[in-house]
Amino acid sequence: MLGSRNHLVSELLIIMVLVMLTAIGEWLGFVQPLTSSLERFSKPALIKLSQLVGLMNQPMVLTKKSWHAARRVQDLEREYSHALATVSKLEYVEQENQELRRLLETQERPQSGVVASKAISYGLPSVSVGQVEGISVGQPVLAAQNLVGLIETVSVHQSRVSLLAQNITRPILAVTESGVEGIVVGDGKKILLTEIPKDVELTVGERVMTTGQEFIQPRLLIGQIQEVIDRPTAPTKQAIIKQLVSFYEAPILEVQL
Amino acid sequence: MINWTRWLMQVLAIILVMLVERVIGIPMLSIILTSLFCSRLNQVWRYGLLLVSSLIIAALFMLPLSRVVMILGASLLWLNYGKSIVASRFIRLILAGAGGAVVLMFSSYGGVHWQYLIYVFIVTIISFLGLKRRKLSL
Repeated sequence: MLGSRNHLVSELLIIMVLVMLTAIGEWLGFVQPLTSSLERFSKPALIKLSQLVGLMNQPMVLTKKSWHAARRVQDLEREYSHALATVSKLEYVEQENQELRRLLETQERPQSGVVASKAISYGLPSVSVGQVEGISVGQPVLAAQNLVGLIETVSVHQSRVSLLAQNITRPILAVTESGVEGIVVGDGKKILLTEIPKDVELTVGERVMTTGQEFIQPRLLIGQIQEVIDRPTAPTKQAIIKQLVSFYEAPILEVQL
Repeated sequence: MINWTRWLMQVLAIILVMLVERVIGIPMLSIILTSLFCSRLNQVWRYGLLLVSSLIIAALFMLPLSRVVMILGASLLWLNYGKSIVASRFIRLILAGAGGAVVLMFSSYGGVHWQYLIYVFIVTIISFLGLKRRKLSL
């Protein structure tokens, strides 16, 4: 009994010394080169493994989607025709814009960079780019030009993403197609457009886009209004936003610098 | 006398499990394997394995190394000396893995998603069934 107690005390002391040494090593910056090398070497394996997990998950995703496939195709056809109409309008506006620019002899605004990346974790959404690629906290993560999350933590070769549904701490300013402004936050499961005045009308299916703030460009598509929640006791309205793409299903992700 | 090859195989097994768990999100099996392998080694190799394992978890999961060492150390102590609280070594091992993983996630990310808890539950059930069936000695 006494021997076991002595062993416990000695092991406890060794572990405490190890914890202190590693803490000092972290503080002095000796640990970071080691962890960043490990990150770099593990990156290809993580990408392959997450692709494998994605493939294994594919039958489940397809089964889930096939329930509503017919209706989804109809919706997509309608959205496609709508998008075509918008594109033709935009082409005209772009042409007009270019002519005006030429007249004003202004230089084209420099576009901010975009870094392509792959997802390396599904449980803790992460992308395979980090400080080396110029990533910093708060930058938007896009899947097929849709805003799906923000960079939450950055290390040398990887970054953790806070998906919009989990994004409770960094509100995003947003506007709907009809011009209603609100704040996009997550509640852990859903993406919500909040702080909408009671007297404005919101239509289900309206697109929601960013208005622009630090790191986040304006006019980035967030999703479509799925449901409007108007509680009589609440001072403002809320709407649930449905995303058209998913972080987990996108073959490639982009981070806007 | 330590068998080098065996030690390296253990490290490789832990790395493989960690890579898979990084994709899933929570390092429960990694903690279980590390505690199990460490408990069978003598002191020098035990802490060597503990440090290597901690370093890889810290790198893959973007966590502070000192915290990972603390959690793995606590799991190891619990596995070796928690007999008076929980008699079964197997249950101690599962508790070390589940508890260690949840505490690690909670202390680092401020919360644990329900998906992780499902994973922890599934791993517990599978480990229980698998080990019971094969009657592996712990």
